[in-house]
Amino acid sequence: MSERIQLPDDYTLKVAEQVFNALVSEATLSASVDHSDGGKHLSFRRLYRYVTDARSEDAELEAALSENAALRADLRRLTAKVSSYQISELAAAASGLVAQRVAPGCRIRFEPSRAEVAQTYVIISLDDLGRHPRWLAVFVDDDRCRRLALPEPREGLIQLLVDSDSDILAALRNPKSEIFIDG
Amino acid sequence: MALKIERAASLILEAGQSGDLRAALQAVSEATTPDGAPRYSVKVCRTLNRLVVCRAYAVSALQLCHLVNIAEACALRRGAYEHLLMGSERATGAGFRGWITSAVTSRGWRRAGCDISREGVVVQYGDAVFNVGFARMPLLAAMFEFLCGTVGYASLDEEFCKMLQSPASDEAVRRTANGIERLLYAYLRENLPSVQMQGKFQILLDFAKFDTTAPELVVDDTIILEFWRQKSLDEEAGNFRLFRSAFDAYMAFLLALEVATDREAVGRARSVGADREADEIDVAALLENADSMDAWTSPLLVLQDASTESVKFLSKAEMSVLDRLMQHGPRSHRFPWSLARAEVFGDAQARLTQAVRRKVDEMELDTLINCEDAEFYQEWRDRLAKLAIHVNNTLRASLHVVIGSDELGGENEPTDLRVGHPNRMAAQVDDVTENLPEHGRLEEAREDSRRAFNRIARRGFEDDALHDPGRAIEFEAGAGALAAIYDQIHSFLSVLDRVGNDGTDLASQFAYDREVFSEQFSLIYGARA
Repeated sequence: MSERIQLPDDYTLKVAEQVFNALVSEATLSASVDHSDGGKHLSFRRLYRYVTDARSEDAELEAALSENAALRADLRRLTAKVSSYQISELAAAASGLVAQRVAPGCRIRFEPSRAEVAQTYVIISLDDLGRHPRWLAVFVDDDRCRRLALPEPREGLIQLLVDSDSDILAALRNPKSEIFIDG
Repeated sequence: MALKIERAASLILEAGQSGDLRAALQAVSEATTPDGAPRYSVKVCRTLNRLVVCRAYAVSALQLCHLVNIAEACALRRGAYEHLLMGSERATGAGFRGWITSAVTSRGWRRAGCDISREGVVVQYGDAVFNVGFARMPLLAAMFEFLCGTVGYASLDEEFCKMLQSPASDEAVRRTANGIERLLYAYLRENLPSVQMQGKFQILLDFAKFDTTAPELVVDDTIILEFWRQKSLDEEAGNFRLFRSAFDAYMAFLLALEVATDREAVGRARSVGADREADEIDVAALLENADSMDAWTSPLLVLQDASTESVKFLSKAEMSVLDRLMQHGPRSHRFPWSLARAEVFGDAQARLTQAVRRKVDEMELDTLINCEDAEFYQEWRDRLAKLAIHVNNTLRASLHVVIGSDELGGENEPTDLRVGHPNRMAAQVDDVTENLPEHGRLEEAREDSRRAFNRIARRGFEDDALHDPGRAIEFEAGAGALAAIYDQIHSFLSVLDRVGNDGTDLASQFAYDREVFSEQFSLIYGARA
């Protein structure tokens, strides 16, 4: 058994070569989907999910973010794009921890808990609570990000209790941080 | 010498070049929904792969720009086009239709000029009109994700942001599409290895001109084996060290010639080619045409697709055994010994390659070089035959759901399984019922499929499948694929048995081949004991 083909003309052979090259490249790239020898890529969708669902955990992505400045820049860019509120860093003169952060339509206050001295209330008031904000992200130096899943608003306020010495609180009160809130 | 250095350099470059591209494509194909289901269908991933390989992304880049424009026009906030591209759970045409319809219903279009049609979204740009079909949107979303992984989200977003400053301008859209094309072109120049550089096609062609006095090309089992024996040792000859590479390359070679000799299709691909003066051919269009003209495609793709994922028709191991036979389909029937060699001695060579990498001791290496662990052809044949029985049983079990679903759907007349189903399914009914009267035959078929269903304990084969219309659709698609798989195995086994009866039996052929492969392995991997 065999395949016998009349020798094609030069043009047909030229077309066949292009088709062959495409088929071989396709097969090579498809086969290597299982056995890639390149560095692992994290899909953009994982970054999107990380931004839009602060409850989702993705240790692999976080490890990649800690090592990859370009990925952190993408995270910040995407967060800025899909957020409703943005609180920019304060003027250069500001220093130390601040008592509140304010932007058009949005205000975040920090109040020590009376019941528990080691804890602090983060109180967010938004002009438009028509759509329940689900997440908050705060970026500090070098695009390092901290995230918070937000609870349901109560009487127009979103209130969270966090440890007074937590990274997230330090980041929120850091005048050089930038805060984004969903909405 | 200069040629050798150039060749070595190109191979080294290729190894590094393709890694990043492979990983980027892999990231898209492995993207999942929050519940872990694949986000993109196998078909979408294959099409994306083809667009990249053939560098035929110009139209898709333009469509993506229009889709970004549409996404922004119905987004919650200005500029936030990402929600549509990333937000639909499983990337399907219906999913995109639902997302856009819901967004427009709740908040309307953010600017004039966009309208939802039956097939997609129509955008007006002054005198120009552009339509993006819902069915195309999953591929465009996959392309966006691929571009984020290759040219980078920041570069891409900069292009889109510029475009969205004047979203009603067709010219701005085209300018952006050109910008994206340039970015991708630059990325692929560095990362897409050139098969042409290796000259593989010419090497295969020269060898197939077996008789230089005859105006024909001949490819058969003997030629493929001899080709591998000669080229596996030749570093200049396109990397044919693995027998499987030689076999797969000749299958691609024959397919390419088949596609290229379709003069009508080539004429069309030529007229839409990017550069007519240079006689350029749109290879992607040519391959797409071949696919649509009932060219063979592996039925395993249906079982691996997201649309049938809730039913485990075949395990990964079973699909792996069938992969090469299904990939090459009916063409492999003309090369039964080559397929047997690729499967049996291809496995032996894979183990040998691994062993060399692990730097095993000489004794173990000798065992592998001598193919002492190779599966006998008879064992391999029996394994295929057993798998055919399993596929047949799974097909019968699938029919139980298809019939049950039809009946629950309110059809009063008994379903005739032979109407509207693939040939093998119809034949299945006849196999079971040929000695019974008409009504009894249908009843017996139902009973047979019910018994088969009850014997299978795999994901998806549960009683509630009968009450789930979505699952019934999966079973129908799966049954079609199983029927094609069964036919393919059955036909190939018939060929193998016929070849065995006509001359060389499996045992004699295996003994001969083992000798050939051992000798060649010893030449490639080291001295033979």
